[in-house]
Amino acid sequence: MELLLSQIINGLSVSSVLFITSIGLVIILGMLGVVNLANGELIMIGAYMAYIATGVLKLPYIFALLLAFAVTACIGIFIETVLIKRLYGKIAETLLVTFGLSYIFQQIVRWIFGPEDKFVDLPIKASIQFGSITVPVYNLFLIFMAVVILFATAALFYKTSIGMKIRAITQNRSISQCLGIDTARIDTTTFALGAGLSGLGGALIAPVKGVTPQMGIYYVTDSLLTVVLGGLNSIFGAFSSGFVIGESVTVMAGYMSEVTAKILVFLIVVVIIRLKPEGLFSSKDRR
Amino acid sequence: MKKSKLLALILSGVLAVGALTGCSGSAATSAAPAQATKGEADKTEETTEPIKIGVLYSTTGNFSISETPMLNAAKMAIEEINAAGGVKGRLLEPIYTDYGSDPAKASEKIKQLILEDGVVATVGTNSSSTRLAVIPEVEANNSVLVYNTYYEGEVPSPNVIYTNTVPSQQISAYIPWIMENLGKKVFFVGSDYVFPKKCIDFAKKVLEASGGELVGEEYVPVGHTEFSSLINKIKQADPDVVFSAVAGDSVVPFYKQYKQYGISSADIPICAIATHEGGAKGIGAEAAEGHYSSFGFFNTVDTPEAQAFVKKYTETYNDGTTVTNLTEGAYHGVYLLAAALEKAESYDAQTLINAFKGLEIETPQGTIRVDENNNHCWLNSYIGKINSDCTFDIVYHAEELVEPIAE
Repeated sequence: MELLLSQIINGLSVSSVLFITSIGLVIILGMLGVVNLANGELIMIGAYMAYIATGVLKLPYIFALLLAFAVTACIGIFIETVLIKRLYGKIAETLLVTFGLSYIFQQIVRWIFGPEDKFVDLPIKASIQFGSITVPVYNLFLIFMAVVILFATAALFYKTSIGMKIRAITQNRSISQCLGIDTARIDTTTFALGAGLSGLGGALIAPVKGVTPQMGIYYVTDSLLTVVLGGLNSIFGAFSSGFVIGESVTVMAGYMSEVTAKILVFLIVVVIIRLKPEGLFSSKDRR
Repeated sequence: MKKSKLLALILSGVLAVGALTGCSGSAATSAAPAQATKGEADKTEETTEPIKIGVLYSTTGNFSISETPMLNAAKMAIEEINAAGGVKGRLLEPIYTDYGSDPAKASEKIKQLILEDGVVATVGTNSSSTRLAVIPEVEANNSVLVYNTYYEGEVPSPNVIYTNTVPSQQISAYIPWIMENLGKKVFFVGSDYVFPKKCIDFAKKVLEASGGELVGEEYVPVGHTEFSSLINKIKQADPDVVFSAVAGDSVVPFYKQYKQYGISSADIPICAIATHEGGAKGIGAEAAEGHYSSFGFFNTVDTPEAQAFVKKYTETYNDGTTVTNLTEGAYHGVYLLAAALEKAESYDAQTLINAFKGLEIETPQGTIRVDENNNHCWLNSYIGKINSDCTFDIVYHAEELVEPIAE
């Protein structure tokens, strides 16, 4: 019973990590129709920014988050303006370009920082103890941040004029243009937002994960899975499917091998997608 | 490529570490355009021609985390050997080749090295996937590969010289030492692929033989970064020790989360076979301190040879890479090759491989010896405990060289 409870609590932080590492992907995919295969590398760059802020510059951890968001958002602006802008609507091309970028980013980071692991210290070391269950406070912080990111992005999309424009473009690009919305600019902003959130995610997970140039690879599969299950264009969907996947894989892993648990979750997702191809929580607006 | 050498004027003493610095000619190591010397070069005038060797390590792609330091160390060894006059008066001409961490590409590259560049042997490859990808080419073209990474000890090729440890060498002394010093109840964890599985299989046998108790065995997917479930299982099983063959990029998150979830190294230490100095730095002192590893070499081995090696490496390559047992392996691998080249009458693969048998050289880890039969090396065995500087305090050193048992 304690094991189950403990796994459920762990599942929450696993779910948060899934959401945090997929939110950037879901925004860029949902709003712009680009499968950003360099998402993992934006996470990685975010993690390295956390290393620079806390390890090199010795700044408080909050600066790690800000720096990570700012730098990856700028990278987002750059790649959107230089490359992606020309390729909207061409799925194969954007896949190839972002895949290529992922290698380029990895190697650039490797040249700058060297190939070995960088250490990012845990900003909150305390943990809470209930009987035999240990809950690290930093994990609670991750859960909190996942919820903050969810509501902040939701507020941005549903309460601000730029959010309204983004949604308008998603619904009908040409009409939006006719109405005088600068769609190119909104695209760039959306891409930057998605990239920035991925970077922020990287800085958030850096203290509990390894920080290496290739770390992004390990988040690609899981975040794509989260996005596909959640519905391609839904932020709430990504949040909920992150929860479903995170909880089920963690609870199952408490009672069987980690490998089996993962395979089972993949299978379940395949079945769900077969029955409900638009994803569990796809939002109503379609392009 | 056949080259028979008649006069071996400079004897194998050349290779005794650091000797004979007087006759350093030009130590140019640039890879000259590959004008393959297929023609016979028996004449004495031509014996100063350099000996081509391939060096196959990646500094691009995922594998560069291990292979960059290995390349550095190999380069350092080659430069030292050339500065000391080379082999039989001939310089080594390394052809450095990066295969971009892609095993399939490694196999193409080694074919090029053998057939186009005409190398007599190749030093390199690191992961088992790469080694297994290049072996068919090495065998088909009858060349020699000097492999310097610890590996699972399975299906050795007759064309490969294995200069680093196999599971038995990391584990035979480790498990009894653990039983004696840390406790008898052991929980095994590993990444889900061949090296960890073979190691744990071997460790379980030793554990049973030495009267220990297995209280759990779990594997995680390669590249796994989420260890809360595993750590819960460890807590439930309440072992004295966790024996870890978690490898690669999973190492750092495993230790970090182990600490985060409140298991202290004083209560249940992790005894690892794939966590080295580089990993320890990534984990950070707080989470790494007090855990153990077993290797043929640590960069804190307190002998003049080891410390001179570490010092020279650190001064030469200021690139943030760490000296580990892999680094030392690549370094002694080149020296072994040079010793074999010195001893071999000619440089066809068979003669060269035979020349390796029984070779004994001084290395940073101490004396090592190539087995007479199985192309593996008798090596040192050290156990280290991570200290607050993220380096290892040596707590055990086997008195004698440990036998390599390959299947």
